[in-house]
Amino acid sequence: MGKDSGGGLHEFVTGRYPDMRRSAFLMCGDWSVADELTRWSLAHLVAEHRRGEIDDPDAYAYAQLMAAFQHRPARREHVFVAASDPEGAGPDTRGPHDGADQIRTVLLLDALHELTPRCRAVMVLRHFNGFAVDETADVLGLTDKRVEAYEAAGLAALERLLVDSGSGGGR
Amino acid sequence: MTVIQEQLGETLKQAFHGEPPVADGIEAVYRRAEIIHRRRLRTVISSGVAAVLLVIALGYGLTTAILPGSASRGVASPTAGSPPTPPADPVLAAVRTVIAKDLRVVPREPVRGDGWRQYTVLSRESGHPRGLIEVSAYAAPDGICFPVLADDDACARPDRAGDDVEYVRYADDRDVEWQVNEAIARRSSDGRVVAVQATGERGTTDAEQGRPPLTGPQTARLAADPRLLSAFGAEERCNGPNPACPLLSVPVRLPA
Repeated sequence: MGKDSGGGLHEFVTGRYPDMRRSAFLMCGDWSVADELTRWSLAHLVAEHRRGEIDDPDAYAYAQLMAAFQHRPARREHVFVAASDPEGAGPDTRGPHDGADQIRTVLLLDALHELTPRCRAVMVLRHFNGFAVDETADVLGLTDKRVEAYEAAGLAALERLLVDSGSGGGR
Repeated sequence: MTVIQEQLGETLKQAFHGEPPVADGIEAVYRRAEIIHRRRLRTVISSGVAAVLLVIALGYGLTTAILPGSASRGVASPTAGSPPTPPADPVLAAVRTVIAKDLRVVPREPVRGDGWRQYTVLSRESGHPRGLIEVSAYAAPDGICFPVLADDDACARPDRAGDDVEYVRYADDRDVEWQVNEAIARRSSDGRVVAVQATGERGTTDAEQGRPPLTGPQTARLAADPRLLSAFGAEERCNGPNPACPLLSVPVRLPA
């Protein structure tokens, strides 16, 4: 996306909105909050882009989004629950889930939410958005080593929780 | 790669089951971006205005500090009711320390002579003249006899202002057309004598309107002010016959 291209910017915003909203949902577990923070982050991206001050829109947008969670209250805001109606799934839903899959998803998301916001952000950026370690470090303003440490801690915590719940090896 | 790593990505994707539609999210992004843009614009404009006002205020402050007399320069003659100019006149400076706040003192032509000065007093509010203050200096190294109004041969017992200055004050309001407050002070250390005479504006035919611009205590305080005693040149004096020197209601009686 060129700095001057309004069409490119609109395409970028349209393309990133769903992914960013999902990342935000993984961070907070609430679709309305996810919507709000995604709009806020992308609005800042658009405003900054008009001033020609954005070199890497992806990094900027995700950095804004993740920073928003740093400023939010640390209390647990949402408890993940399994969807009751698979037929109400959105466009990217991968078909009906069996009961074991739903339980594992709920457990994993709940475990994810037990992590600190920064650790959770590393896990989301690395394992959902597919950012490399150095890209994640840029987005979060961390060193590569810190990202690796957060990731290792997050994986260990999730694995421990899933093993404890008896779902770790099941698939 | 651990089991959890293998499962994590896929499991996270399953979490979006029941995801609500995007709806007008994209439009909302642009609406909000416009709000942010306007807010920033307002901030920039406000900051610019604030900076300009600050520069103006600083400029005014510096100008006032560096050129304290600038506000009163270029004004017409003193008798026309203009604010007093700040010449290097230590006598005027001393007079201004005692004058009432509702009055202004300006030099009166002829402003000065050898051993004397005279000033017009004006009302600040109306600009009308309120009288005259005349100050004259004398040399009396051997002491003086402070006059007694009732007895030409007697000397008054002076009051003291500090260790070095003695003074006597006089008042005469018998003639409403020429009401006078006067004080004569002498500094013992060098024999310098100063007489201050404040007379009300004549022609008012009203005792209140014609009263002197300095009260008796103000007149005495001014006469005994060391700054006034030092305000005249060392050689300035009205000792000899000098028709330009003020005609005092109570003349200074110098030793022969």
